[in-house]
Amino acid sequence: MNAAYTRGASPGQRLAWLADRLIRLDRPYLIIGSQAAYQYHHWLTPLDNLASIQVYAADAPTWRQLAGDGVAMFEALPTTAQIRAVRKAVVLEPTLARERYQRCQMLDGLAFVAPEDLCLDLVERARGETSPAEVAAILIARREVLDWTMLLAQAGQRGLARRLGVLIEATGVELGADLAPAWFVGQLHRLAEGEPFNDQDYPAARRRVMSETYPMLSERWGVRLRLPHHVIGKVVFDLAAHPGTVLQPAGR
Amino acid sequence: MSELQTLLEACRQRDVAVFVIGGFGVRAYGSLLRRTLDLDLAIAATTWPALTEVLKVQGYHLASAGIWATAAKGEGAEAIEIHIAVGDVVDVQSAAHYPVGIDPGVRRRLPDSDIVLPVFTLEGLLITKLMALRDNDVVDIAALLVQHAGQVDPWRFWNQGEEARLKILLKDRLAELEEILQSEEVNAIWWDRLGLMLDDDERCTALDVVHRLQRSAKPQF
Repeated sequence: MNAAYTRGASPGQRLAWLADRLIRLDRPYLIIGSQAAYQYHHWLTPLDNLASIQVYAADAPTWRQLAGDGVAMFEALPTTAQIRAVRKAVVLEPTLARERYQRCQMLDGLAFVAPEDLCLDLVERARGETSPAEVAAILIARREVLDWTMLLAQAGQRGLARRLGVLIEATGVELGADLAPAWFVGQLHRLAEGEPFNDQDYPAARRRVMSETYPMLSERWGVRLRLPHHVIGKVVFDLAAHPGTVLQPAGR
Repeated sequence: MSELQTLLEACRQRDVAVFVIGGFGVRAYGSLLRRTLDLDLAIAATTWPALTEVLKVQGYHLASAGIWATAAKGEGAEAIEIHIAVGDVVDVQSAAHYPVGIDPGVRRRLPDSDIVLPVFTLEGLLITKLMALRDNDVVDIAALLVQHAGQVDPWRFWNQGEEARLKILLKDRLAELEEILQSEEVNAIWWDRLGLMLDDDERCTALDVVHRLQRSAKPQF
């Protein structure tokens, strides 16, 4: 097993294979996806040979120089076989925007997407059980230091208030405590009312249609939530091993 | 990991038979997927008193948490919590039980490590994963089937399934898994879990094993 994925390992240790290359190219980037999620929740470990970075479209040709010396670059979604065949892999997303980069968090000299932006990425991309669980894990682990004001603004801007709201309150149900400050939930709900109602199931791709879970929350937020209780329940169960993380009061 | 080694060595010295299940159990079969850092064990009910002695000597505090017993020690970043299935591995959703005593177990070396873990047989591991068939189980099962396509023993699978009285459930779950692997849902699950797509050849390999297991089920079930 890779010893880098212990709860005490720093991002610089975990991503040492990538750090030198990122610093050498000296262009703006954000580490996104599962590597960033792990940095914020220390719950579900990322694949240790894979990292996704978001860069400015204009810089993409420069970033292609990351390839070589055992590192493969992908600009489309790789397959399991492709990742297994290489030692290390970087997925390049040339979609970075300036404001998003300005919100980055520097950790050990590495630029990570802000946790608020990452939560919304996960809310938006959720097609199975993992992304909603990771949203819950990040919010639980970071609730004391999260910029709730920024999360609110970005959720409104990206049209994700309904889905974020239902996940926050579902996490609260499993926690048996409020996850977000009351003012935040109130304002998020007002934003949600301004969003069009979506009659699609959320997450989108569940084949085994289960009865609507969290029906009261689904109605309140106007989202057909199809997420078994065990998904967020497992996050709460796992993170409860560190009660300092879970049982703190909601912040700001 | 050193704590796990210490604990397993203490169990070995006291002749206490434990199985490592969960993420590390799957990892012992060479599957390098995303998972939590939790340590999960399973033991036969008759072994529980002996294991509690070992755990207490190692400084753990024991508690019960639903279907799991938990053993914990340390605080903060040093905290260790072990979840222990006593007697049966249980899927809460379906209430299906896999009795630990059924599985003969095997010892497997963790990839890139000297650590050898006592784990369920490949077939036992598949049964416990099929019982739940959550997204992460689908990913684990497909990875196991792809990596060990030639080693899955249908006779053992159905015998252990029959002994656990899970044959009907397993037939249903295999049908569900077949449907997932044949549909776009498999890519949705993969993408959401790993940020990857399941390779088409690997999807076919996994499907072949599923079909082999389905064909080998005794008709009376």
